[in-house]
Order: sequence, then structure tokens, then C-alpha cells
Amino acid sequence: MTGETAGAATKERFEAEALPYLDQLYAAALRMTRNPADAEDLVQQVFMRAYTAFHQFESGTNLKAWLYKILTNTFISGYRKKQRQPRTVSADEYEDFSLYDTMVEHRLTPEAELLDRLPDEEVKAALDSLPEQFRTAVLLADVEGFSYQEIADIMGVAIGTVMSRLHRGRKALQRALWEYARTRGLVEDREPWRTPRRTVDPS
Amino acid sequence: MENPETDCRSVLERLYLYLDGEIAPEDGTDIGRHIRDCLPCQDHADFEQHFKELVRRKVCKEDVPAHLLERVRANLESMT
Repeated sequence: MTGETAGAATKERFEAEALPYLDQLYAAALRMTRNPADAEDLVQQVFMRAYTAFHQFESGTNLKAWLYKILTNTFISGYRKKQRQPRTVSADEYEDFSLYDTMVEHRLTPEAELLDRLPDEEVKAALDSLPEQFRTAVLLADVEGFSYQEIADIMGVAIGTVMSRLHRGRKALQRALWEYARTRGLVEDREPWRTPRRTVDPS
Repeated sequence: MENPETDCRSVLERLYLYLDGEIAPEDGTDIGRHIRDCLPCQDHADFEQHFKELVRRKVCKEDVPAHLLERVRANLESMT
């Protein structure tokens, strides 16, 4: 009797607090799985897992981050295996790159407007070409707006690792978009200055 | 007054920390002031801010299937 009442109260609280994140979790699941059927399936699993573990959730802490952690773990343990083989990354692919500096170096004015001309599909494709860990870090920071500490908790890594993944992910994304803009003629093809560009060491 | 070159460099090194809101308030104030007063850094900061927003804008357009909420509710029902 008491257990039943407690159960009903927990369920009510879970529905009231966790279900409002359904839309955000679905969008995130879709970005991870890239497939609506898998995304639905993943979201359903996440809510079942979250409900089962809800007694472990500390009231007053960050429920959204807690749900994303379950989402990320469920995705990694289940879907990723069948979907994405880990990509091998060549050393020079992630050497420091800055779109802004590269444009200056090519005597182009780095206007934010160039970014607006990039087609949605190209930005998505560039994002999808990133290794999973970089991609997830960038999505959690720039799309979901999580803090570095929250991302570290969600991904189960140190905060320094988050910073490194974010840095490298953004550089790789900028490089991919630069290549796209150049091959599609969105920027003029000019020879770079001969002077070495100013590089900024992230560390 | 610091060497302006060093100042720009140190601001650009921490630009993403600043844009991500991960910088201590007093450092944030200094960086914010520098960006406001230094045109090249302002340009650069605007560009990177725009880039951050680009990722969000381009990937955030998915509608949730109407039946998903009901399915999740039904799942929870079956567990209790």
C-alpha cells in the first residue's frame, strides 16, 4: 500500500519533471542516430532507464544533464556499435586551423555573412564527418548549451578532455566548411599572403 | 598598460572560453572590455560567435513525432 502510493507519487513527479524534456531529447537522439525510427526507439529506452533509476537522481540537481547522460550512454552502448565505426584520424587533419585567420591569410574579409550562405545540409554533413566524441562535445556545447562541467559529467570525462574535444571539433568543422566554401566558389580563390599567419596555441 | 599585441593574443587564446561563458567574472569583464575597444578582436569575436550560433541554427529543426509522448507514457504505465 505504502509502496504503491510512493510509486504513484514518483511516477507523477517523473512525468511532471522529466517528460517536458521529450522534445529536446528526441532532437538530440535524432542527431545521434540520424534516423527517426532509431531516435524514437532510443528516446523510449532513455525514459524507461531514467524512470527505473529515478530514485538515484538527486532532487535539485540538473535533471536535463542527467537525462542527457543516460541518452549518451544508451546511444554509445547500443546504437553506435551498429552504425558508426570509429574513424581513424590522421595527425594533420586536426592540426590547428582557424577559419577567420585562414580567410585573412587569403586576403578575404572574414564576414559572418559567409557563414549564413552555407547550406544547412553542408553544415550538417561537416558536423557528421567529425569523430563521434568531437561531434558530441560540439553539439552539447553549442546546441544544448551545457557548461563544460556538465559536458564532462555527461560524457564521463575530465573537463580538460571536454575542452580539447571542443577545440578540435570546432577546428575540424571550420576546416570542412572552408574547403566547401572554396570548392563551391563561395569565396574568391586568392593566393594566400606569404607571411606566416598568427597562430594561437589553445593550451 | 600591457603591450597591445600581447593583450590581443591573450584575449584570442581565451576567446572560446569567453564565448562559452566559462571564464571567471573578473577575467570576463577584462576580455569584454578589450573586445569592445579593439576592432580586430571585435571582428574576430563576432565571427566566432556567429559560428557557434551557426551550428545551433543549422541542426535545430526537427519535429517530434506526435505519437512519441503517448508511447513513452504507455511504456511508463506498463512498468508500474
